[in-house]
Amino acid sequence: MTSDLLIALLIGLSLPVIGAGLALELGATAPNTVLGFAIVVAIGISAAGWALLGRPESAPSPNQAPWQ
Amino acid sequence: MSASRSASERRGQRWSPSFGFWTVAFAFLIVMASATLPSPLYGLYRERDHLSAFTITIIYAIFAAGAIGSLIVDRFVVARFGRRGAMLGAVSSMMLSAGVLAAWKDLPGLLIGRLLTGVAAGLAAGTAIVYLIELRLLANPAASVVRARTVGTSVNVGALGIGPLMAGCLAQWAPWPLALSYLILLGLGALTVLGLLATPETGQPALPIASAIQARGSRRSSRPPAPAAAAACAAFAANGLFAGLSGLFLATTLHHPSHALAGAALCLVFSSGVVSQLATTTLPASRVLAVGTSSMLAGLVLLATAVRLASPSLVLFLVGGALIGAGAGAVFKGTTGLVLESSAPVDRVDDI
Repeated sequence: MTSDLLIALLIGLSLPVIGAGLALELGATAPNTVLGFAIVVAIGISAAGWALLGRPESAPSPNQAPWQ
Repeated sequence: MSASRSASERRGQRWSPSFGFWTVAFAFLIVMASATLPSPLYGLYRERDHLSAFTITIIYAIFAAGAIGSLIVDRFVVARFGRRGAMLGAVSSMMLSAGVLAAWKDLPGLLIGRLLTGVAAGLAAGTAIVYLIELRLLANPAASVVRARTVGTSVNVGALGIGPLMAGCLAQWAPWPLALSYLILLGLGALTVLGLLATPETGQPALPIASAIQARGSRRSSRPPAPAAAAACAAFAANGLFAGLSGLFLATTLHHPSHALAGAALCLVFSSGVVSQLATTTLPASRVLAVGTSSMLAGLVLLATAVRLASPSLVLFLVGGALIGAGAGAVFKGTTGLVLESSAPVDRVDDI
């Protein structure tokens, strides 16, 4: 599980920025590129957070579990 | 104590597990620092090789291909060579990449060097935290794993900020801006290899490959749900924007071409992630995720505002970066905690 999350982290750390680089290459200004990127990331993080916080718990959630 | 001593003697080690713990932590730090180290130097590479912004992002992002590849095979590497072997492989790959990046002054050298950097980062990221926990338990079987895991996760994110800070400052104020940082990494790597050779092995090397494949198959059920992967991906996308393009934005939009400032900005982003992870140790995972998401959204608004003002604001840019970095760290921590809480106890132990 941890490896899969690390892979997701690495994909997030590297691939979206290629889109930003492509936008700049195609003539988008830096402010517009940042704005578009911010909107996409904001939608992504909000949707993922909403989905995660709305998940039904399948196990008890201790406040301070030893693996946290 | 006697149990750990006899375990040490069985493995023929010369140094204590505690020394090995900090050696592995340092190895993890320099390997992860190399992942983002070239970020403040992209402006110089751009001038030297006449590269476009798109090519710069490819050079930056290609490391992920190497990292993902080595994360996928990491389990087999550990099964064959042990955790110490995997960490030695990570440091050796990092040293090879530093050598390539310092000596091969052309675009293919940059691409190959970054790919090798990714291989090193993937090997270290997949091995180091478990190795640290096992070394901690080897030193003291009754110890809590929380401290070891906190050290591991803090090094993981914090090192991503240390690398660019060092490279930016050296590029600004020292000679050989496109070589010196890599030469320092080479020297540190050589010292670390010596330390790792004397660090106890905690895994079971030379396990048959078939057993490792079987073990991998039995773990498929513990994959994180899609929202967790999406959260990790989205959280670090904004960090990636800073790592790949903040130097360009600082130079062209904000009119601050300092390499040191580019490195410091990245250090601020990633160190904020460490601070947020350490500051939320008493909060439940759901609260950490909610706080992290809010911080990221506020940071994204400030970032977009900073570069769109009639007179772009460096302060807003940096504050936005700090909030984004802090939010990303908290989102990743909250996501991991939520997934672990909702997984079966056997998977939780397996994932520690």
